Amino acid sequence: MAPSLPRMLIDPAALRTYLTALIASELDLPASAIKPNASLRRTYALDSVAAVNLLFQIENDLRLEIDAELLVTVDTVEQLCTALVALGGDCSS
Amino acid sequence: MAIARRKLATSFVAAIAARGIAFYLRLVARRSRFQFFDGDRQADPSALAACLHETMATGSAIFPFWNCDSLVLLTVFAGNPSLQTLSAEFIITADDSFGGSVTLSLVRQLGLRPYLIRRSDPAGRIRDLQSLVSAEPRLVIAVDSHGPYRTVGVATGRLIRRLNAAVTPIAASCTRHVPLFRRKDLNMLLPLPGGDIVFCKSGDAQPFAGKTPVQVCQDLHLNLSVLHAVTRAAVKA
Repeated sequence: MAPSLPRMLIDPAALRTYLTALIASELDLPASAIKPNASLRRTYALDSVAAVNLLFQIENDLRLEIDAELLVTVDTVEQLCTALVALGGDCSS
Repeated sequence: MAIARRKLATSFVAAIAARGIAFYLRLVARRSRFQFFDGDRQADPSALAACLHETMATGSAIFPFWNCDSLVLLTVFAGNPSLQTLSAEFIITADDSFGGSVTLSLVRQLGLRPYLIRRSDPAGRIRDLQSLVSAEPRLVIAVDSHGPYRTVGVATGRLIRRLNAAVTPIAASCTRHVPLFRRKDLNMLLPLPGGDIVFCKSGDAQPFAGKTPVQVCQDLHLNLSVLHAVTRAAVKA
């Protein structure tokens, strides 16, 4: 039987809110400063250490295994959200 | 195929360069006089090594330094058995640029432990950092590698916060040297034989708990600058 995944993975709005708060906390910015379609690298200077910190936290909170490649290919909160929903769907199927 | 061949050629050249530099630094180490400082107090190298060992025994530890001190620091490690025996306990990070490849090979030649954090492959870099962070590491790290020099990047602050590491800045200076590169902003010094070399570690591990990465960087910058000035003053005295 597949493990039950957090509800967030089937609720994109909740997932977006969670990711925005997480990224804001990692970058020491207010959550309101993080725009869903702004480039995390260019706009907020997200570096590889911050990416690793996010990866650990998301894996822990959402009980997912995330490949490092995913964090390289996505560059906005919206893209990350979409990728995680897809990953959650793959894990549950 | 061409890329693989170029990579092979680069690592071959880097290995040859590292062998030559390692030979030279050992020679310099044999023909230099060393002084050791723990904060502003002169210290015995074995006592200093014991102190560093104690710091590493408590968990993750980071020993940051300015990139310009790299070769002088390696000379210190190459020339002092008590510090070299510590080398099994810490790792020195470098990347896969040409300079990084030389450093990796040089560190290995001198009997220290290198750790590769890839630069050319972003996903690989994240995987390398992931493994590093998971391993509760003891790191000796040039915090301004690749520039801007004498600036602590915020990534270092994030790494320190993530690891909750004990941070002990280190620095080294020497009386006889030549600049290795023409770039004045880097000012990496190649020590010459027959001079005095001063190695200094910060008196206490820096407390960074509860600080933001930016505050960590500011404090670390100040500590490293003070330590660097202490070693410069000590070699001139």
